[in-house]
Amino acid sequence: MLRMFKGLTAAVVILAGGAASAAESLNADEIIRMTRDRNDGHSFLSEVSLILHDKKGNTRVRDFTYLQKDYADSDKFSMFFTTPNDVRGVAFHIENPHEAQGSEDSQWMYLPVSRQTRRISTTDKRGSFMGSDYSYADLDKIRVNDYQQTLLGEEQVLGRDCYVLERVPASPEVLTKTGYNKLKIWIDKQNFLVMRQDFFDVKGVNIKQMRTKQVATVDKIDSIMLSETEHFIDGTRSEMRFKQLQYNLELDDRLFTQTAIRRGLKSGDVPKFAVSSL
Amino acid sequence: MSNRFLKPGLCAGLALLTVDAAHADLTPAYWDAEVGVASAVRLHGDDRVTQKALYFKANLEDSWDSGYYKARGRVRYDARYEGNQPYSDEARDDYRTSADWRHLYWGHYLGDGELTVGWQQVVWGRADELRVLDQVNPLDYREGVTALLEDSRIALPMVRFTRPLGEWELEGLLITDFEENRAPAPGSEFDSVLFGKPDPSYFVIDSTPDYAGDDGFSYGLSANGRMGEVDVSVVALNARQQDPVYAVEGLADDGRLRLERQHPRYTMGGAGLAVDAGYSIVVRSELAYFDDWRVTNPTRSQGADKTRMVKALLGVDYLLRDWMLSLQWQEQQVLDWQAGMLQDRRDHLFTVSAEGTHFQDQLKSRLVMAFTPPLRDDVLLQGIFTYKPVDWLKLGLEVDLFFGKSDRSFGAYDQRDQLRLSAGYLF
Repeated sequence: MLRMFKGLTAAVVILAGGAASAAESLNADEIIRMTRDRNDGHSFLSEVSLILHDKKGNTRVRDFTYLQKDYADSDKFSMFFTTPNDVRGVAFHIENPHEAQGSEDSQWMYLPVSRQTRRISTTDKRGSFMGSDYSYADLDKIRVNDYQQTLLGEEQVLGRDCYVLERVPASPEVLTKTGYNKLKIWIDKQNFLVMRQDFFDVKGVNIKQMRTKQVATVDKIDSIMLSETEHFIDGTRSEMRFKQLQYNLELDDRLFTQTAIRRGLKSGDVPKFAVSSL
Repeated sequence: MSNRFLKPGLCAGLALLTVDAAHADLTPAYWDAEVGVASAVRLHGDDRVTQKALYFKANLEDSWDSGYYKARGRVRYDARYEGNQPYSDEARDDYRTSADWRHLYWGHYLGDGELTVGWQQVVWGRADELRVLDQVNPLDYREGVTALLEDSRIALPMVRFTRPLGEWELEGLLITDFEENRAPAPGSEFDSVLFGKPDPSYFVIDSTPDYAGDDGFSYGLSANGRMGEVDVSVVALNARQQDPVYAVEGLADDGRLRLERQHPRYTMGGAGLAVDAGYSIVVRSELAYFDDWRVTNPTRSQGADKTRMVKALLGVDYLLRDWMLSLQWQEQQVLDWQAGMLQDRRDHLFTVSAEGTHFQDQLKSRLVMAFTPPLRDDVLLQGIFTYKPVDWLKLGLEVDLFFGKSDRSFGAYDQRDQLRLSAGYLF
């Protein structure tokens, strides 16, 4: 379900000036395809803080370790929550077949209180990701064919030149899955990072906005380090902050199975400095 | 529970890990705790307050290069059992103070595998609050039949080895000591006919086999993995029955029947699967076969019959935004059923539940209807709400409503509907 963070954290190899010029003539589908296919390494590891702001200004922080690895036919993700205590041990595993495969992703969730791993349907991604303003659909990897996109023009976001596109669901299933009737998306012309995204519900109301707040180059890959989503209806806001970001690590395949999330992340599973606790 | 630590079953395993643990700084790398108050109120009759408890829970964890330990325990003092209290002395002794480890074990990495030794809970299968494959740990029924399994499972001393094999995980476990399901004390709030013992007017229980040491061990194997798009579990267990069976030993001097309270050994094999069927639906199923299962039968000269038994479960989960709606059907069938057995030939149980989170996960709700057909005979309606407005405060509310006949699981608690409240400080 959460093919997620690729849309947020991964980045494209910085295109040289010539390539950037070539990109001037891209159409909407090509821009989305290049966004989807950015080089984000063959694996990825990060500590992530999910910061929830309620409408009274109270803040809660949830930390997790996030791992991703590319496979021949899919990308696989595992997430292990470490704090606070009510989510400690909660873990997700997601298998995201490449779009060309034409199949849906698979997701499992381990809940330490019940000591069980549960398979979670991926047909409805409207639910909130761990209480945040990011829905599972928001964090999904971009799919080109799920939407029909139109290039509206160009604008600057955070001083960066961006394409502005409008995307509407290509089928009722996509609308049902995401709950969004329209997306407006700002994509950095140089590195194809998503810099901003507006979400519209079935009534055409702009209910949410996702903003990229901070970008850094890690291992020669432009990466979103801080993302923020504001829910205009609920009056709430969530941030996702990436730390200790590393690409192209040798991550063991056993960390990317549905049985791995019950075992949890142990010392030695990943480079030592990246283990936030235990 | 303290005497359980003295049992020798785990000594060898623990000794193996002593060297391991010696390398560790025993100050935990992670800990959390909760202190709070809990109260329960019966919605009918006199003396409605049934619990006035103070509780403390703690969780400690640490790890080192070759292993780790995990400890989670809880202690409760219930002032309701002080002074002039309406329950039996046995209930007072049982409920006034209680403490247990939810788990306490050491882990050691062996290649790709992991050896864990200590008091552990092992949950097999994919059922939601029902037990088909989940037969490893006994249950504590002292808070009745509505407590969540996560709160009522009793940790058992065991040596357990797990290792991944491709997409699969293999598990072997040896439980060193036997422990039975823990029934409510006679004369306590949650005592019911379900936990009835043989009528002392007719029977005398004059012996109970000692299941310490070699007689109490259990062992099991499991494999969890995938076959295509289907999650598959296969399990096998050889253990003693967690509820007692009564065997006739003869006649007592006063003419009553002499019974022995036994926990016969049985073998269980089973499998479970789960598959994402699309349309927001996940289908779960489990099937378990029990061999050499014993059922008390007062009409038999030996007092019990041996039979084969099958338990099955079909569950459907429907995900709707932040709600998980589940429907489960559990069926149990005694294959060699005999007249007089104190267990029905067939037993059905249906559950309908909705579990959701709201307000940035500050509020968690669980609504359940559990019933055995016909609907009017045996119904539980349950609502559990947990509100956590800030990280350090947790408020709980639970409502249990019972309907049905007095000889049924939930109907037995008719007129004992209850409201439970709790407030915990987390640090």
